[in-house]
Amino acid sequence: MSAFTLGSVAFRLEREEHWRELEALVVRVERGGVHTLSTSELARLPQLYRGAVSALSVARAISLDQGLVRYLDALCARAYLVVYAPRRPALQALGDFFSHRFPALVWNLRRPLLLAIALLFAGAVAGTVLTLDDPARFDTFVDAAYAQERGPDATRDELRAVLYDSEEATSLGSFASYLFTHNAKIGLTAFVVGLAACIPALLLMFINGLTLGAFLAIHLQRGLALDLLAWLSPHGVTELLAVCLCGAAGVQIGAAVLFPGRHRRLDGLARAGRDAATVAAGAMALFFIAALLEGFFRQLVQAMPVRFAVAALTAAGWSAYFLLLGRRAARTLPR
Amino acid sequence: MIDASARLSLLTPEQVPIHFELASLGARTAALLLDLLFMGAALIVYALAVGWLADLVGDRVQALGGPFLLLGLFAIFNFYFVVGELRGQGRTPGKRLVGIRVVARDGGPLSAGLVLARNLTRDFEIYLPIQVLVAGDSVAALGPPWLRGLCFAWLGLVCLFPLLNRHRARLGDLLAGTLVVEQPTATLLPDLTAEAGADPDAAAQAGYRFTDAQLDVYGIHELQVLEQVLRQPPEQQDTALLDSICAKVRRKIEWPPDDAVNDPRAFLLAFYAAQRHRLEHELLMGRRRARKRR
Repeated sequence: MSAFTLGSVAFRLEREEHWRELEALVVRVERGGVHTLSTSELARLPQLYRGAVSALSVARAISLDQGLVRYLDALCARAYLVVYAPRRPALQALGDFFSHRFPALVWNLRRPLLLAIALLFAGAVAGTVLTLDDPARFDTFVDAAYAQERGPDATRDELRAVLYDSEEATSLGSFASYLFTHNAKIGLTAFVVGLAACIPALLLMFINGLTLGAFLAIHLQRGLALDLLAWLSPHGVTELLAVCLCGAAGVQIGAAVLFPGRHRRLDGLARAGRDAATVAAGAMALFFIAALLEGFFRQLVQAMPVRFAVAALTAAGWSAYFLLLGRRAARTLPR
Repeated sequence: MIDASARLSLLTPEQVPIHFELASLGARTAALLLDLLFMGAALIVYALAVGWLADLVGDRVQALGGPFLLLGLFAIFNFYFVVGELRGQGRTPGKRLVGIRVVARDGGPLSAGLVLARNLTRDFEIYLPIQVLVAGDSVAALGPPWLRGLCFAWLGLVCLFPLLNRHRARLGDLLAGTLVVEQPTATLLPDLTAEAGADPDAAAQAGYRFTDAQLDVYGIHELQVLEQVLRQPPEQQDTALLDSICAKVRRKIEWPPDDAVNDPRAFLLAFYAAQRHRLEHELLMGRRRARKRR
């Protein structure tokens, strides 16, 4: 038996001071954020972290002191989360989101998006044809609370009155914010239910289309189809696009469950889920714009050409945003 | 990777594995309740503030109060957790109080997409089931009984999902690839050999000298169990336990029975120091003895 001190004790004595220094820095960052550190401390943090991590790996090999290994494991775990945390100014991150990330993710999502739009249109066509065939079906396709006084029994003047109704400007704000929260909730639902193998998300798109078609049918019968489109499209382009985006995001996560491909199903789901949720969050912005258009513009402007012009403008705007900007940004998106 | 004892093991970019304990469902529920409490308080404070401001500025602008109220409530309701987790690096105020945090399953940074994915599903996973429990009648008007049954089954499944998998993951956790773990909090304890005297010669001065044959009886597992016992704070020391361990060790290593031991703790400390020295020495020589021989 030799007389020298234990190797693991000497090892610990040499480094203990650095560990305690690292622990103090980590505790400060956890409490008050990284801004509480001075420049020199900030430079010291990764050095100390690397020292601790290598000490952990050595300690696992040479030390049988469980207390020490546990301490180092916990210290390294805490320091790891501090050192490798993402840190960007919120405004810059937000700007980057709308200029790059969101349009790029939407471009990558173009196939499910086209599917969602196609289903919406299919639903609209089916709704129109079926309701024209038997107007009583209107009540099946449209929720009574949503239809209000509009319905298969409404006269032309009643329908017209809704389309050219101008409320008092003071209540428009409430109306717009109600519309936003209501629609955003529907969008979020469409996104989440996609998890169940896409089916509910696709179904929701189709059902939304049916409702649209039913409305179109009763207006068609009274010669108001064009007026309805003028009433609907200024905000509808944005709003339906947002609904379809949420639906497409739902389809993407459903597809990750159904067709895992080369990845483990769990990993594929996590990958798709992050992108899809980002798109769904971006769709909230679209819902907001749509609600402003619906709540203010639609109520204040009655002229059909202006209404159509705005609709065309929004359609062109979103196309350029997602097709041109999105396509270019998608190339730079890290995969 | 999750091992059998509910520990998440991550590989740092330096290729060293580090470990996190998965948070218990009780801790997560407590954090959720705290957060809901804070959120409720925020909603009420915001509503009162808007009402007060609207009164202050007078009738003409008062109409703006409504939309501001609605938008603000929507934002708080849906983005409280998102902002909380983004700002606090995976720790909302409730999680911070309970001492748990969100980490990515692959150890990557908590990006906005990830935090959004795990929180945008909350509406569906938590608020909707609560709504059904509180006001089931309004939901019951949904449609035919089979559809209602399907909805309830689905909601129940979603709600109880964390109980059904070993990651204790919510649906949102699966979607984002995240896990909720305990905030690691280990303190650096003094080395036990320092207490016994750092080198075996000091132990020998205390009257105990162990031969290599005696130290070859036990392995690493026994050493670390002994460490656990010796590390108990003095007021929790179980003298009967120490006595019995001491007696057992002495019998095992064939310590002369006529050599009386006055202080079992001092004896065990000396034995621990000598044993650890021996085993670590063996470890350096590439011989790892995990358990005792017999």
